[in-house]
Amino acid sequence: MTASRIRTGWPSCRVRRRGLLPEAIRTETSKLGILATAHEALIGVSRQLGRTTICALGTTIAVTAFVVTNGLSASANNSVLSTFNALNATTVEFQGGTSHHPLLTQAGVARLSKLHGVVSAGLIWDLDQQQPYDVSRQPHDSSNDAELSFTAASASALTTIGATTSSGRMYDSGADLHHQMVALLGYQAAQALGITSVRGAPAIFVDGVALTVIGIIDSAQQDTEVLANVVVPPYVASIISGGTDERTVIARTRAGAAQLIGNQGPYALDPYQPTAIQAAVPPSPTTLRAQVATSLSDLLHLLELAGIAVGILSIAAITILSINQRRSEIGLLRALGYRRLDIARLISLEAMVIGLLGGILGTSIGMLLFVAAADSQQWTPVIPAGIIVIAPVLGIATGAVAGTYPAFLAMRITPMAALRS
Amino acid sequence: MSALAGPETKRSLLSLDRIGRTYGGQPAVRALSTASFTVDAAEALAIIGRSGSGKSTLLNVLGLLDTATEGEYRVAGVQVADLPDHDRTLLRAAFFGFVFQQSFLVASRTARENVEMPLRLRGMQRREREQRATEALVSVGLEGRAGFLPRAMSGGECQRVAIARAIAHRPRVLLCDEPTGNLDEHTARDVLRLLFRANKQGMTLIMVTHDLAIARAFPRTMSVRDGRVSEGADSFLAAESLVTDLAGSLAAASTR
Ligand SMILES: Nc1ncnc2c1ncn2[C@@H]1O[C@H](COP(=O)(O)OP(=O)(O)OP(=O)(O)O)[C@@H](O)[C@H]1O
Ligand SMILES: [Mg+2]
Repeated sequence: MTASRIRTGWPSCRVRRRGLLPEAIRTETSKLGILATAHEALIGVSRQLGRTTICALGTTIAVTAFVVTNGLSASANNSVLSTFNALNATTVEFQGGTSHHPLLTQAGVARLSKLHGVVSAGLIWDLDQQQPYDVSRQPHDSSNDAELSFTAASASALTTIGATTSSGRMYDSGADLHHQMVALLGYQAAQALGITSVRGAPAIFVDGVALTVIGIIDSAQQDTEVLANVVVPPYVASIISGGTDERTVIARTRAGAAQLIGNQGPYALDPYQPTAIQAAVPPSPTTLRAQVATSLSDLLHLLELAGIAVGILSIAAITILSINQRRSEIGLLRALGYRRLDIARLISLEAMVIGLLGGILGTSIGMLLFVAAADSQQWTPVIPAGIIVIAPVLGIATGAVAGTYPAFLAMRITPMAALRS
Repeated sequence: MSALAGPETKRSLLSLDRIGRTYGGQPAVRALSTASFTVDAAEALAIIGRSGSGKSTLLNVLGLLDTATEGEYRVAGVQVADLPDHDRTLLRAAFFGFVFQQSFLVASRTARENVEMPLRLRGMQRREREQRATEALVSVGLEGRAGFLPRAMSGGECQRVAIARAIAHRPRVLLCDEPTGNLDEHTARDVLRLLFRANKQGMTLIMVTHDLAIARAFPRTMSVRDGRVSEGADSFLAAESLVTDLAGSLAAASTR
């Protein structure tokens, strides 16, 4: 009678229930603290090394991937910065006007060169859109002709593109002034013509025009195309092609000034029609790094997420299996006096210990792989601060998430389960 | 509290009033019905009955491993049916120690760790826990096996470890379900001696058996037959004599 009344009324039942078990009995047991449970979990996990290893495998792989990807993206960022081509980042090119109405002139280049931040600037363009000319070493003998393209370059442009000669010398601004009929040969062009040295001032002939070769260009950092071409001063170019080609002004700036010169350059080059002149400015190093970093890390974060999902699933799956195998053991613990909470805690902590193990293993393996990978890319391995702490914590978190459902399953096992095995 | 514990039940440690247990299923099995009796502190009680009669069912209800579906069961005056699972677990851990036919040791734990389990639940400090565990292992003569895993011990040794575990925390009641069922006669006698010694020290001993010889060693016996519990071994003997008659007639038939 009394019993049924107590069971139906929820509020009264709570009040009565607390009073039902004498306090002395209540406090006699159930003193299994979280530390003691963790200790039990540690023992349980360490005595089942086979199962533990398989269980931790997924997390190990996930954390390994986490460490490798984070390490690599940090190192990649770093190497983008350090191997960033300093020359490229300081080169600005200007174009504008039409072939009949050129806007880019020597006078404009002279004004541009005076801008603060400009190291050097010059006019440079290809003749006839790189259409090759017949070039010969004898005036009326086409037996050892070569087909070569021509590049027109002012003396300052040669400096700007970083050209150097292996034989002879460059022409200077006097060449244009005094209408000197001279030419430089890129070393490939020189080979094609069979010229190895400018000693004796060899001559070349093009469309009946005689040019004296005064130097052979063996390198040009900013414009490797000229190595295969004949390079002539603007005056010579105008005689050969009529001077109707689209011109380019190339300028080298101080580090960090490229953007500024890109904005100011058109006003210096042609104060009357600055908007008709377009500047090509290289992307700044920070922009470039950000681009590389985002494209890399988007992919990597996706991989990391997938890895962690695999880690969670592998712990969860194997723990669920092991709960079924351990029904009798868990029932026994219940019979001995483990409350449902104690069981849930035990299983959760076991999963977390396994996760931690996977985290530690993954961090170690990840570090090794990452250093090897960075080395093969010739990057300096950069380890993001905190990753050594974050990675194992990630393992524990994986275990904690993976352990929830198994803990819930284990909690529902009754003491009677111990007796049915 | 005092209102719930009647004047009569207050004296007894365990008191059953028309306890029944029906296992749900197709068909439902009424394994225990209208069991009414009391057990006092420090008593020694044998429960005897044939296989399938409901002995284990009764013992599991007594030990709070299982819940009765009918009637009222009080432990030290506490009405068990009203307790939430949490409190029932506390009560079980405080009052009962179990020894089953199989030893049910945790396979991954050594003998000592198995014995320490109920002690840990009491929040006992390491030194006291180890001392108690050693004491219990010494009392079953297994101090030399403390560091052994169950798989490295014989069945009899495992059973003695299970007894050490059941008595280490000094429960009020020791519940045994055919503890000697898997043991040879000699080992069985050792185990029984241990259990009686625990009883002498003040632990209530309740043992399920289907062996009349063992039951006779107890001052009090109860029989279970088809889920009905009665005082004394008479009902069991009546059933047993039928079996003997049957065996006799079979033997007679085969010799003829
Ligand atoms: N979980 C269960 N579900 C359904 N029926 C059960 C369950 N457990 C026991 N039974 C039935 O209840 C009856 C009593 O079982 P119990 O285990 O108590 O017998 P027992 O006397 O201990 O037998 P034994 O000597 O063989 O151990 C049996 O008929 C059995 O089939
Ligand atoms: Mg039984």
